[in-house]
Amino acid sequence: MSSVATFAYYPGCSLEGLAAEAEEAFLKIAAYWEIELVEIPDWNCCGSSSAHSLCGELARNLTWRVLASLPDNVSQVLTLCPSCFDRLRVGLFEARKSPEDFSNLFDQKPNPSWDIRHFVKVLADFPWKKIKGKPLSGLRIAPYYGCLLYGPAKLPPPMEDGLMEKMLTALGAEVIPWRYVKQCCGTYLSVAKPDFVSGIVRRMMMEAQRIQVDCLVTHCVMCQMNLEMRAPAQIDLPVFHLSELLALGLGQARINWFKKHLLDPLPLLLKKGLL
Amino acid sequence: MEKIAERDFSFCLTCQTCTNGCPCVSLMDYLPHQLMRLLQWEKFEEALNSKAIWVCVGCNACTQACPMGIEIPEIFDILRQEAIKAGLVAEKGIYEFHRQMLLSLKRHGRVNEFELTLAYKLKERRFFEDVRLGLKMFAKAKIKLKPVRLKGRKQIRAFFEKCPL
Repeated sequence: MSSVATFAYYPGCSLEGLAAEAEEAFLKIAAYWEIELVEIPDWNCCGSSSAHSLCGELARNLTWRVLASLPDNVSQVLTLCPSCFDRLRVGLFEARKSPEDFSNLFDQKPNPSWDIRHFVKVLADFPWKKIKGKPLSGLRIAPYYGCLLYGPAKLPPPMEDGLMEKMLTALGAEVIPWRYVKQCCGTYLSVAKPDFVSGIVRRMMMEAQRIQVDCLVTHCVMCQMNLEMRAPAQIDLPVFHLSELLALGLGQARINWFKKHLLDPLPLLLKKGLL
Repeated sequence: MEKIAERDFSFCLTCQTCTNGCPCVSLMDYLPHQLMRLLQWEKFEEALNSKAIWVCVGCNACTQACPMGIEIPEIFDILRQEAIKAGLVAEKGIYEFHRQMLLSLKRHGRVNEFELTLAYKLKERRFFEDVRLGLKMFAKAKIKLKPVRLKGRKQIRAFFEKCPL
């Protein structure tokens, strides 16, 4: 378990506020596997869905500034958020397509070795099977990917299916395939159209209850937030961040993370003897 | 409107596969395949004036299902931007969300979701919506009150010159 790689770390805005526990958990896992992270200095928001909805050039420039801020000796960006991942991949694609425009704005050429990585793919390459004792056994989980991890269609797929399942199964969890694994959660419409998003989440939660899983797990902080905020009152099914469960499996979890959830996961974790 | 007119929409078979997989159809006036048909007929103003282009969140379910691999969300990006220029925004509430999000980004360089949501609900005069949820999130320390201020704020603000909000 030697240090495999150094990454330029791009947490993304949601990890700073709404889902600080997901980042803390990820940092524990990174330390365990000796992944070295150098936070991108003065990183800005990628523009998310709003920038490319209202102004293509703004969206492009925001992602380009992130790339231009990369430390000299680190060429691989590691993101935690699938929306940032998607936007930065598009930004890099556009920088390679119009290198002169990039140079005019930032006084440097796009580096051919730049690459955008998502933490699910990076973590999946570690030997989770070597973790002894099946620490997550007894937990029935429905994995939830949401919609953004595999896009956009014009770029080659960044990873194969089933990576969350692979890691969680190696840690002893029972992972249940289900129909909503890549369903969109309604994302930012949660603010402008809350009833609409409640409808999507209700259908997903009812199905999760029907297939009798103990909890859901997702790598996406936006999805996690929507599932918790818009869950119907009669359903009390915990929704974990992927990083929390992986950290739990590595014996690195902190009880404080679980206290920040809107759907309290502590009774489940205590019942299963996981805490 | 040139940006739309120069594109070739004849690839679309109007087979409706996009619409069948779209999670947002219940909020749409024109369905995704109907919008593609409008574009084939060059009824651009009707397309720009539709709610559907604002309702789409860009989840790409349509593109993944499309037998011709058409990236409808990317087409909707162009339509939205043209709709703003033409003053034809049919879903003001969703437009306002994007606007407040980008204003927060412009102020700080990063987005503070709490500030964004509060600004949105006040601007839209939806004072009582999600108040209990907000208090619960506050109690769970999910809300970060102090926004970050980047050193590169000036450079980021300059990006907005071509994007009036």
